[in-house]
Amino acid sequence: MFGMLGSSRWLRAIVISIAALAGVIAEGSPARSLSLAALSLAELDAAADVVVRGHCIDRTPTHSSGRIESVARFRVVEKLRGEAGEVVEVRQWGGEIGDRATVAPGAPLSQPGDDAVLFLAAEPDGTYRVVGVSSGYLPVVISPLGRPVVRVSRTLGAEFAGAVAWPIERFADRLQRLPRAR
Amino acid sequence: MSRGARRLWSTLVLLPLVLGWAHEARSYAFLRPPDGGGVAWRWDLGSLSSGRIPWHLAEVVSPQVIGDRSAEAVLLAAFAHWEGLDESSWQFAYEGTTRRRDRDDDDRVQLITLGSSENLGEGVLAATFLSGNRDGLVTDVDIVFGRGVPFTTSEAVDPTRYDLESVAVHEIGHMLGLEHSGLIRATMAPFTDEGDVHQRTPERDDRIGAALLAPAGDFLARTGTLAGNVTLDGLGVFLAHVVATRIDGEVAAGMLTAPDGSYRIDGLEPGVYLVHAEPLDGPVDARNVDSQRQAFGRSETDGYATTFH
Repeated sequence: MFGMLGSSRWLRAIVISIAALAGVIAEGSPARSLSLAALSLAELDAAADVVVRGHCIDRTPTHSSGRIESVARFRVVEKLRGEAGEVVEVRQWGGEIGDRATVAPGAPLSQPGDDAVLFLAAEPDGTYRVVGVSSGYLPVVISPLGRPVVRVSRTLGAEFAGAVAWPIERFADRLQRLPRAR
Repeated sequence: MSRGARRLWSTLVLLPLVLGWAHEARSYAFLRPPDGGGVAWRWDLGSLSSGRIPWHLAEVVSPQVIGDRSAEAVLLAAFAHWEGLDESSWQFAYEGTTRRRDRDDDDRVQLITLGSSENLGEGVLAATFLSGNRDGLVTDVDIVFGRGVPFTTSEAVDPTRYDLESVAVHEIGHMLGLEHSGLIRATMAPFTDEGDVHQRTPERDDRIGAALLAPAGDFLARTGTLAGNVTLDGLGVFLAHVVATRIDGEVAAGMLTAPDGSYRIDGLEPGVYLVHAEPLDGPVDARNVDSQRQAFGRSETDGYATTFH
């Protein structure tokens, strides 16, 4: 079938296909996630009691009331908003105990060594939950230049469109320039 | 163009697809259990009565759910979208309402609740909790809708509220074992907005995924496979989004690469396809498909960008 197309028809078909791809894949910024919210930076900040950059120390699955959940401990590397201790405990949906496992599609389960900026809402028992589940969990990776960068998404706002990651200092500065809602 | 981008092989590959052999269905974006070595979640449909997945609806419904139809009618319609697909054999059994309103991952009862006491948190519309054995056998699925979310049950579009039917069709897709799709128009894309109803109807990408999990008729025999590898500097790229587009411009399917960079898109009709690979860099990103990272115990590959050669 490849050979049945003349070269001009073939090129035209490629252009049409690429244009279609661009429309389908790179469509404008959505406002909400079906299962897990995609909140803007301002919305995340407004809903968070504290924002930190943390390194995951460990994650412990628990089983109670018929549910498997996990508590991940993060060593606080940097406090970006609010006050937090040196270690924060973050509740996450799902986990694995023995032969049993539960997952909530789209909800991150941390692994030791994970590095992330976390927008955290306080629970009554002193633990935290990530605001918007995956929306408030922004992985930090080391750039080829050796600098920590935070993965960003266009769902955070128009200024993040077209960027895959921001230097952590720039992200922190942008966050701290938001009016504090709480 | 960056050095890394130049070395991204298979970014754009044109392939004639004239395949049609029967094969094992093992591709596409499926949910995977943590540390499961990459096996996909799957139902043992043969063990269910008449092969139907039973489900219950919680009696209590949030007062934020309003509209012309009952929540029950909307959910039945949502299940019917998946049951009505020609290429797959999914069937469900509605077993009525229950006084239970909160999920239980152990009770082997598929509960759908619009009145849960559980707080899903800021902006979360709904969540599916899929449980089973570490080898991937599903034993329980519960779907929880956010109790404070303004949903509409109406068939007509309400631009001020979230469409319950669209959200339900998406969550039921997770119940089947489907992961989020990187294709923003797919029902399994993780995003919607108030007044958006397009995800009520599964797209081609969703249909292929559902069919590969529970094929009907000769689906596997009459469709073919595209397979290959995405590499960067000689190493496999994990969680690249590989998309197969028909020559008429219609996107047929997308899937994610394995840790070694390999991909395999099954369920494609014979034809000519444009194959394109890109990073999951938004709106859908690796956080939205975290079960892949959990399953394989590693993070996605960095350092490349969408590039057309």
